[in-house]
Amino acid sequence: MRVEIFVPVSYYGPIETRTWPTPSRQYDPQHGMRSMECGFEQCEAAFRAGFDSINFAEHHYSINQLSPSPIFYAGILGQRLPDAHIGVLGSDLPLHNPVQLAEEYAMLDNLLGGRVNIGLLRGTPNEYLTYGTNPWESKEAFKEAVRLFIRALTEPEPFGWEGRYYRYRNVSIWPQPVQRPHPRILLSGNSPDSARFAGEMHCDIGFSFQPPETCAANVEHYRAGARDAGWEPTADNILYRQFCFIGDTDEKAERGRADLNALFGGASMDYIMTMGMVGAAMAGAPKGVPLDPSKMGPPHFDPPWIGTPEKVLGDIRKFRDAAGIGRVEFIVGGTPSCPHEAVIESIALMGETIIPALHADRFELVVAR
Amino acid sequence: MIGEHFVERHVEADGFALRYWEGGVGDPLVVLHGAGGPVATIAQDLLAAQNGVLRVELPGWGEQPNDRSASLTELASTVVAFMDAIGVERAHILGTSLGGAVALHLALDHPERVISLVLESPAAFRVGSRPPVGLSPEEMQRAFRRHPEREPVWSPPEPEAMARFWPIVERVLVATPDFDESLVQRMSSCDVRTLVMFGEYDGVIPLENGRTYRRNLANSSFQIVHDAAHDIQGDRPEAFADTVGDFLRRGMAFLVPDRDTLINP
Repeated sequence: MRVEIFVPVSYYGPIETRTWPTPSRQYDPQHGMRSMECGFEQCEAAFRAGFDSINFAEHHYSINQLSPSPIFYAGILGQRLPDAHIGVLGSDLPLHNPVQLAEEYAMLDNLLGGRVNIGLLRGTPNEYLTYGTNPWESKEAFKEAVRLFIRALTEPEPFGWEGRYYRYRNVSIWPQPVQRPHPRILLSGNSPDSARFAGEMHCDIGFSFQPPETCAANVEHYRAGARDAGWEPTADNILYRQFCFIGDTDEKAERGRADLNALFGGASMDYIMTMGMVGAAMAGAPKGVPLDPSKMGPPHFDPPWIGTPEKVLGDIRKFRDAAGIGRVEFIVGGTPSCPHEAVIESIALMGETIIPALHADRFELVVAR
Repeated sequence: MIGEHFVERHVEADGFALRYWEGGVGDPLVVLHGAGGPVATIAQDLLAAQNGVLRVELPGWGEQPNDRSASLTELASTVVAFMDAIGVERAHILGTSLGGAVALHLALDHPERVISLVLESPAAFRVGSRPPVGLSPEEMQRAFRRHPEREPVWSPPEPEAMARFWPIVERVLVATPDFDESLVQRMSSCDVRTLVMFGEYDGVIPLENGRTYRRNLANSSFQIVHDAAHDIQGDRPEAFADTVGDFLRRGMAFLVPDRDTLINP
């Protein structure tokens, strides 16, 4: 099985309030530059540890992830690690011009010599407050944008796109990607509809934090969509993202437990309700329907993989067998509350323990499925 | 009702009694139908707000039989004769599928009569296509329409009508190669301003054929219409009329939007 890492590029500087959006007056460039260097050091540690891909994602206005433009970061990392495979998993497609994004990924694929995987995501609710993106149109606009993005990467003649949400009358991107027809593209599959769409589009699928039974059900939707499109995914097409932190004692491992409540902890109820409205809109709730605060709550995440290598290895294998995944992507630490040195230490221990063990499971997995 | 502002007329041209429907005021837009015959559409109603739309019934699709027209070139000549008969010196030409192939030949043979050319899912190149015969009604509907519920609701041609005009289609189109190299050669010297449109889900003629027009017509634009199949006017009439109307009004300047984006002064 393949083991990938998601490096969030956390901000390791002093901070007074940790709400979202984090007030930018608190940003200290010295700490910021050092934090970005810490991110690279974590990537380099991950490469030494044997991770199959080093991944980033787009997030905005937050101390948790200094990567509003992960493509930049991926390009620089590619120079520092010329043999590493890199994934940008991914970009919040509805926030962007899909044609420009296709251009940027094609350029990155050239700069990295064909070492990049692409992720196209709808984004979390707070991201819709970043540039003022309409959440009610998000689902349909996203599907159209994916089709346009792929068309832009593959169409050999200048063309125009007359869509429902996008209109570009003159597209002919240079450079074209190195990987043909295009780099592997991962779509999120956290709902039955999105899972099916990923299969229909012949893309990889990514799940985040879901319990195994939800994940397994969505894998079936994914496979059904793929069958309709005339292809059969393997476990290697299916990635699961989860927080993971190991230590040689439980106490050391607990240092990596992410404090997720801190992300929106200082936000006003109006902000929280607005993000809830956005989340509901993204899930298909019609415009103007009032939210019931009693039914709002944090999403149901499966417990993170935290503990000794033996325990975590058991947790991952159990999850893998239940959900039918072939790739895991670890978020190691994931928030600035986990010190950089502890992240490096945990990554190194992964390289000695769970990564070789999971790599050796590759053949088991193929036979089992 | 769709097409209610169009007036049915008749004219003698090239030895045929031709029926046509006229609507709107403005630069003339001659509309040439696909193999199924002329259809009134929302898109044409919208275009009639800026153009004098002339929806022509090609010879053989009406009551009068047509055993004579032997090629796309001959059908194109008949259309030119129609323009002569009604006193139209130059016109925009919009051709759909088979009508697109006729329109292309008209532009190649009579470029001086064409202001600009619009090819909707044109059938001049048909690599990888499947003729819409022998399909079940459901298959045929999927090939033509992503949204069969949109007005006008799609329905297959009546068998007796099909028996009347399909031999003409066989003669002028099906008998020609799917990819005609000599046509490509002729296109390379054509500078008629051309808009080529294909539906993203065209189940009759794969949209990849659109590239051939873009590659070989120097003054052309190739537009892919999302969420549309072969019958773009039926699936996305507003998008079709918007794109075509903008192209007819502004030529290649349609590549740049002219709508204001100022939010507030």
